[in-house]
Amino acid sequence: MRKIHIYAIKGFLLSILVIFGLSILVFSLSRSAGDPVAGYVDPYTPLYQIEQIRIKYHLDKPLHIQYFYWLQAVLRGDFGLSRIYMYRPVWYTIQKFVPITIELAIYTVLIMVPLSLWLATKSVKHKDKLIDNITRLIAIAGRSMPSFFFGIVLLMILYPLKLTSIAPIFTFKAITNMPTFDALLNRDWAGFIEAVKYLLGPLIIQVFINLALTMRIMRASMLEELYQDYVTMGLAKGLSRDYLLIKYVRRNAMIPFITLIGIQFAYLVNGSVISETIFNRKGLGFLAARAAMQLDHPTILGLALVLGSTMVLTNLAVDILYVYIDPRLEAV
Amino acid sequence: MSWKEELKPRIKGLKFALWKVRKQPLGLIGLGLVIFYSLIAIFAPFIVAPNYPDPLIIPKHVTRTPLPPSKEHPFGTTGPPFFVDIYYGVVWGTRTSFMISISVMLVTFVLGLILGVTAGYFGGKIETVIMRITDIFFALPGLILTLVIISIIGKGIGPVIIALGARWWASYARLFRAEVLRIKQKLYIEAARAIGLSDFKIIMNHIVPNTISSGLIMATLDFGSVVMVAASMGFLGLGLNPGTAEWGILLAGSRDWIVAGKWWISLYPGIAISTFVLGWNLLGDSLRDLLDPKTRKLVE
Repeated sequence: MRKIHIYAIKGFLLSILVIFGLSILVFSLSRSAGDPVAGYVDPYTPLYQIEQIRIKYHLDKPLHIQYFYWLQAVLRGDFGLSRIYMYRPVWYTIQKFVPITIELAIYTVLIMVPLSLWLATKSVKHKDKLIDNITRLIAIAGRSMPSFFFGIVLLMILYPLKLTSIAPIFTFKAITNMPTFDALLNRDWAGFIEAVKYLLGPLIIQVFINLALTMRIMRASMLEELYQDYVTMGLAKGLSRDYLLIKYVRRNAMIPFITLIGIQFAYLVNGSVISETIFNRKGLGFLAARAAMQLDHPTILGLALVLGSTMVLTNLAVDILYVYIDPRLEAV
Repeated sequence: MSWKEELKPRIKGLKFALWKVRKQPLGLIGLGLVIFYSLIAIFAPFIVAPNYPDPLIIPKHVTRTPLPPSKEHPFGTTGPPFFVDIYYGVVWGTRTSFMISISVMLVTFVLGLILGVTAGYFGGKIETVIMRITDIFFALPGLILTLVIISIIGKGIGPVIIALGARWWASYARLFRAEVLRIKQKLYIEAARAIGLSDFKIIMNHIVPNTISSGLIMATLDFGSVVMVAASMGFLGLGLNPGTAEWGILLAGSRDWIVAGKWWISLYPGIAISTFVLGWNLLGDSLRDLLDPKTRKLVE
């Protein structure tokens, strides 16, 4: 067995442990939210019936046994019923909202990656010149400006220009449940424009917030590479600065960048809480905010568990990919 | 040895840092903003007469639509649903922001210090348990964790502090553990052990003082972010109670008025919060460059 395999297996076991811990956290939060029986009864339910319900759902047992019954249900995909979404199962609700956020994530990464590579290369090439200072400014603004304020300013600009669609009605057939792709698959051009308008506001917010970080990391990582011996050697050999920068330095600097993108992808839901709420886009962030506001505990806790587990596994995948891309790490 | 002599290297370091801060324009701007907002928070009662009995509740001005900025209301009013004066909210909101951030930072700092130092110094099982718990808290995206906790324990200033503390303590525990692991290998710790000092003494006299500075840098960097997340909660209607002087809440009602062209509701609180966070970020960045011995060499 190669070292990378051992590393992967170890990481996987550790991830399972963390997810297990997360489930305990979520379970204890759900129990501290109030008596679970309250969800099934009204003030007129006779006491003996309440006791029957308690026994039927194993709520009369000690907490640690209740936890295993709860875990069993969760593993079957049963997170309870979602109050804010017509009492459908939470799992069903999450599945309904996921594609919208994934669509946003796909476009964000597609735009953000080339843009931050381009800006980082520019600012390294002209270090401490105008373009470098502009990117520095964007980065500082992206870190300091709250996304809800940026979102509102954006709404102020996009709304009068009719560039945003807050409550679109899509008439085409749902295939992937991602409006822009569905519109394209159905060749519905008016629908496609509507879908793009639905996407635009949150997309700009996401790109702006994430760009600040990715661009600066890429820049720092490229600057670090620039002082390596092979660059000096390349220059001595007579290679041009630009050629070296793009063909060698940028490629080598890419590794931390890729990890970062992987993690950002997972964190996207975090940012979408605000952006989707402002632009009324029905994705996971919107669902999380709405569920928290309306005290819909099964939904928000189910979402926390699903998102947390996804994050843990994404991080693991990124870690393994990292070793895979950079064989030097395997030797350590 | 008198305390003056004992503190001499620290005072020298501090003086050096202050001298360096003066040489950094961006850090200086940050410091200026932080001082500016501190002054506003301290002198709030002299800027706008406090509301009776609770000065953090904004006096109401009930009108059918938001009033634009005028002499009586320098920043205008919000109109429905909150009916508050924006100038009052922005000024007193500074106090709320400081209050929330200072409490959250105190809680996370102390908790992180105790757990991180314990984990790093003693190692073994205790370390494994503490660090795996931080892993669990890191598994959830920060905003989601805050949302979950607030939706369960309710609104108000106490729950907001708890929810934000839950989101931040883990990163301090990690930082302090890493710092302790670095310091533990130093010769002077070994010497302290050799002369038979108790663990408690070693931790209090030799480990904690040496880890504090990186903790403080991180706290400066996080100070603005705490306010930002608290305001996000307020914006979503999950933070403090409506009507409280808090920047996020002021912005919460503004979304529906944007469409009608009432720009002042979002503009003033938005600028206040952005510059507040900017100030702390700039200050934190330059402090990190100055106090971190690794990068300090680069500055010198």
